[in-house]
Amino acid sequence: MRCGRPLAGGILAGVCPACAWAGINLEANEVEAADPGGPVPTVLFTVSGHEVLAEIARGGAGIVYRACQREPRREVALKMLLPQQSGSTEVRERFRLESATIAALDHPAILPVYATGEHDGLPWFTMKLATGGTLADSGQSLRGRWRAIADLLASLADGVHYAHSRGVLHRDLKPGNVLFDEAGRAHVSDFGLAKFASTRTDLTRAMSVMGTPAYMAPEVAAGGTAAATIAADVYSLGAMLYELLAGRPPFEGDSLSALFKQVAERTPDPPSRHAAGAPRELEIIALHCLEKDPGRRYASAAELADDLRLWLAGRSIRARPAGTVGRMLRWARRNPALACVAAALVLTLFVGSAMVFTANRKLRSALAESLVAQARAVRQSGRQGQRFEALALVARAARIESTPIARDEAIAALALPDWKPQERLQLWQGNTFSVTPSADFSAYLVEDSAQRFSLYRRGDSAARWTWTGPDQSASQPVFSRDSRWIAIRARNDVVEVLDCDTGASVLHLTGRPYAFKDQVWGFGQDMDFTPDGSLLAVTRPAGGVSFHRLPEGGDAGVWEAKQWVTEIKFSQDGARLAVGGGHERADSMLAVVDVATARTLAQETPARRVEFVEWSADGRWIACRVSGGNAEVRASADLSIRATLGDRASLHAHFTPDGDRLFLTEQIGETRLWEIESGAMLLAHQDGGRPANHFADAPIRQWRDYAAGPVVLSTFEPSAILRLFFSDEENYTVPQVGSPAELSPDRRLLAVGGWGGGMIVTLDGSEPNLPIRTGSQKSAGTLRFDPTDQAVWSCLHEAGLRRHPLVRLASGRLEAGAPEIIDQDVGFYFAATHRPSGRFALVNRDAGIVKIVDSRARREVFRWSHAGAWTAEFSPDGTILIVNGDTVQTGDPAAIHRIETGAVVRGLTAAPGRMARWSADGAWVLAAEGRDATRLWRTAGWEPGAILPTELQGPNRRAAFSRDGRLLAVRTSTGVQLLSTVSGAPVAHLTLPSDPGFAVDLCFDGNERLLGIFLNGRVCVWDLVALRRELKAVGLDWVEDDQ
Amino acid sequence: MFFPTTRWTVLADASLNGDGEGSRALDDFVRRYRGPILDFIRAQGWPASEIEDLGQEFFVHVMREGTLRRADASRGRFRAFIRGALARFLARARRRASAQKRGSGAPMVSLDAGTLPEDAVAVAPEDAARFDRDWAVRLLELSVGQVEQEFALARRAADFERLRPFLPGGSEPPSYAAGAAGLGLSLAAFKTEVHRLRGRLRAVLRQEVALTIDSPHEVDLEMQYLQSALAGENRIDA
Repeated sequence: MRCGRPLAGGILAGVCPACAWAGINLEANEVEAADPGGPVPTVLFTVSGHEVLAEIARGGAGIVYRACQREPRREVALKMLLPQQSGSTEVRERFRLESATIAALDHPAILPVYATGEHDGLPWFTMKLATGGTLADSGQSLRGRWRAIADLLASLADGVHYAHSRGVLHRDLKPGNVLFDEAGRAHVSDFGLAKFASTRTDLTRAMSVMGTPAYMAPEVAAGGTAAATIAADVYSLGAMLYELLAGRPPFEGDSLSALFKQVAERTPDPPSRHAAGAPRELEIIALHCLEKDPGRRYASAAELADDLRLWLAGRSIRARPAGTVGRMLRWARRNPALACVAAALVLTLFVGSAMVFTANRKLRSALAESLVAQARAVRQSGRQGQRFEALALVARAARIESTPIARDEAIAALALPDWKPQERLQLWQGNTFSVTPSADFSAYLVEDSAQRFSLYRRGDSAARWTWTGPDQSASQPVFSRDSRWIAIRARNDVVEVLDCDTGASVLHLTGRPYAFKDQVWGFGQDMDFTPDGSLLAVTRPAGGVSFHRLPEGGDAGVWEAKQWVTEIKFSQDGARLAVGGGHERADSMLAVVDVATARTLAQETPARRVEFVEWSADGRWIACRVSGGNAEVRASADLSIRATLGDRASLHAHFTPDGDRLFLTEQIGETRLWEIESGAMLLAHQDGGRPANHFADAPIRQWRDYAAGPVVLSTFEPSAILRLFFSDEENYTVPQVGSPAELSPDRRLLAVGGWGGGMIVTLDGSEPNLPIRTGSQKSAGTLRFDPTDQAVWSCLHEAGLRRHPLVRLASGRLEAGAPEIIDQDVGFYFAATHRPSGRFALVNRDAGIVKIVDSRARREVFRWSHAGAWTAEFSPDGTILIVNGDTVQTGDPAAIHRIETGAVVRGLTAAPGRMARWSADGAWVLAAEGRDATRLWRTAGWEPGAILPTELQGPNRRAAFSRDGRLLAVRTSTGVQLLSTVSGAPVAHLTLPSDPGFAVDLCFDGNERLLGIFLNGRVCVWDLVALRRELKAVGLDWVEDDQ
Repeated sequence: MFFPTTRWTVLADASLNGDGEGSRALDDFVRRYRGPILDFIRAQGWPASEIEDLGQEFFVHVMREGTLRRADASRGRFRAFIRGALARFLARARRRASAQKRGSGAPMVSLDAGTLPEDAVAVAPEDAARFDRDWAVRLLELSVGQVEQEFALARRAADFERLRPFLPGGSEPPSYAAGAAGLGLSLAAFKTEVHRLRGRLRAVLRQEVALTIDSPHEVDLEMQYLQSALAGENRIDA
């Protein structure tokens, strides 16, 4: 006792509240020491390098202070969330987004943001201190100054357009949000309702009533800010212009509902009715912005600015006053019943309406464009909704107008994975201590504060049984993966295994404290069942792990270790156990244990404790994170690190079934999806709350638990049109010369060349990549499928030609047998296969040699010269070969040769281009020429055809014809462009979600799939059937040209 | 006063439509501030048998009368506002009780200030001081409870128990060395843990206080006021 006052009881037992409070307050005061720089005016409080001086204003969601920034010393406006709202993560996130949104904008007509941060849990940002007041204050001083008004609005429209071009809508433009600095320059501020890319719709919906109805577009007044578009901001600018002209807003009402009614129904009076002398053109401009139909307003804020400047320059403006027909049309739309009665009138209107719609087509397409721009911003946000929300916006745009840009945007969105919330469960009651779902989420265990553990079915929330434990759980209870058992470790050191059907105990272990019993650490999983439920592994108090048979309960061995174990997880086949643990350095350990023999298969001593361990489905990889470090993916065989992911706070991991991607969940509740090979973050989702540590597979679902809040079940939706494959090997590199990849005759497998040989990818994802080893790791290899047999050929640059038989094992797995050496001719790469004749074409770039190998005879049959030979492709009949080189030493770089003699039938190009392709029907050849002359050739008569668009030119571009020859695919900087072979017109652009690097090959699998093979061994497979089906659903499928 | 939209306006609306969100907010309100309110009623000399019922009635009246919805900037801090509303409620209850004793029903009287003469709602300074003290202790309890729950959710409940004696105001904290040994940490690492715990408690308490005031810059003032209230050296605010 320090002060003599009585100590508190209850939760504050042993604490003197007065001393506690004083201690806390004292430390708070120490945190922000006074500024050593000298005297300052009265400081309300200090915020990270700023002295807050006085309150300037406050609004629904924030308070604005005048503050003094210490370094550099200047006066700024500091906007901070009101403390009352800090309890709402929704508002907090909105505020945070607001600052991020404005901070990203750099335009003279937009108030700049200097710094952002958080204080006492309240997010804040600082911005330029505009001392000249707002337009709401100074609007009167502009009365009758028509040119100044036009100039001001043009400048504001510029700023708003700049924001629009970056995918940012303001959503709350009004005179109070236009601030003047000391020099009288106007700035748009308070993007308070701006819905930036990652804002969720529900968030803005909740705030929709916060807008200002007098300046709010009718569609926003009716549908909330989620309905806002660029057109809604244009409306608000027009409403401000109207007010400056007329001296009053377009609509006034005694009540909010009266105002809403006017906004929705009334056509505003011309401003000149309220203020004499307002120029007719400015009136027209304002009324044009205030059209009820968003499609009839200016298509962009830039167009508004242009028209204002045309007027300032004394030229005629583009906007036209609404004529009689237009007014009647609008009346008819608002009064459909009356319009029907006036049937005779409708006939006359029909002609007129056609004219009006023609005139407005441009405006409507601009509205569609703005929706596509919004979709792009959402897609690029990397947050939940990146696919479904973006697609919904594109679908809206497509309903107005179906454009190639909308189609490409839809495809880009379709290529992304996304989460889809499926179900919300309210499971936490006042006395709930923990909730644990079963492995398939079909049931869950609820523990209450009275140590009652009750099992519920999820479908009907029916309680199946209740078991009263000896104490509260000491760690998260663990279900067996078949939902047969549940293991509970209680604080009194008892481990109990219960039968999920009956609630009866089948195993009772005593003296089993949680590792560090009194020093509990982490979110660890300290018990696990084998997937078949026949064995339980439990950490031991003396270190190591013990195994127990179920249901009989017999001991099944012990894995001895000195270290405390905190994390254990069985591999999917139950044969191995990954073990992690440790506390201080001396204890830390990561190991893989053979379950049958309890032998250590691999062990590492990381610098600090291991936070989690998780297996990939195929058992080859283990994800883990060492405290304080990045998440890692290690090989289970030797624990060598395959990849590190820039995620230093994750506490749980879950592999996608293909093992290529990894979900990591952070302590703050954010779940991120990482691409292991590239280390790219693909998708993030955060709701706040506690870590969501439960995943189920097939399909992948996540159990997101917000303690005391709802449990949300979400389904992970991988892209329906794009599938990605990766090489497991470090620094995998595919050779660029020749054609390094090929589909198997049955199109199920893809052979991809690489260092030391290459790999075979099973395209349905059912098997891991099969490496083809030649024993030479230092040589670039290319692969070809044997045209007739179950075998694959490798051609190593430094070692020559080999043939590897492919064997299907009894387990169904594919394996490569011992290779047969065909020749040791160095310097070659595979370039093409002609399956009917069983021939391969190989190129030797350095020696300028092309050779033809007969796979059936297993020997070379022809050889001739072509300087710098880089690629080659057979004509469909196998009689001639096109070769394209990268030198002009002798002859044309691209030329058609006879197979037997090498004689040149036709030279095609003057500049080296490397790439050449022959369409499957033999009608077309595509040959790259220099930097800018890649073109199509009609093989009948070798007439030059269309030149590819400039952006698709270049000697290193890869291309492929579809099997029916109608489509041509060409690699772009962000994906692949599909073109019509006949017209050369773009058909669709397939944007890739992350940059896969240099493309070394493209090929079509029939017409159903398009494959891209990249330098790092990544393979992208587009399902074109699914793509067109999805596009059709949103009205964006393409129409094919006729040959 | 601008009360938390997230909590108080939902609470106010709850009285009108009784939806799920509103009733949860009411539950939360009762859970948070029930203690100081019941203590205040007890201190006013009400019989023990009636305290619970009166408290319940107060909450119901707060709802029914829309008192929270009418709370505005002129009323000062939320704590003082609730204290005043409670005093008026009890004055009315007392008059009703005495009227019942005299055999006549009392008319319903609003809880708003102004509908009762000032002398009817005057709170004895020592009662007001006790209420403020209880209020501060309650905020402290809520904060410590939240930090404890955060530890529990991280399955570090045992850590919290080890660290608890090192909370500011702890009765007889063991030495840092003993604490470090108990947690199996180095002395430096243990000090970091204690520092983090205190930092977290400070942040949570300030957020709790922030929920009851209307501007960020008032957090310090209210922190100071409640510190004085706990030390028993306050002038009672309005």
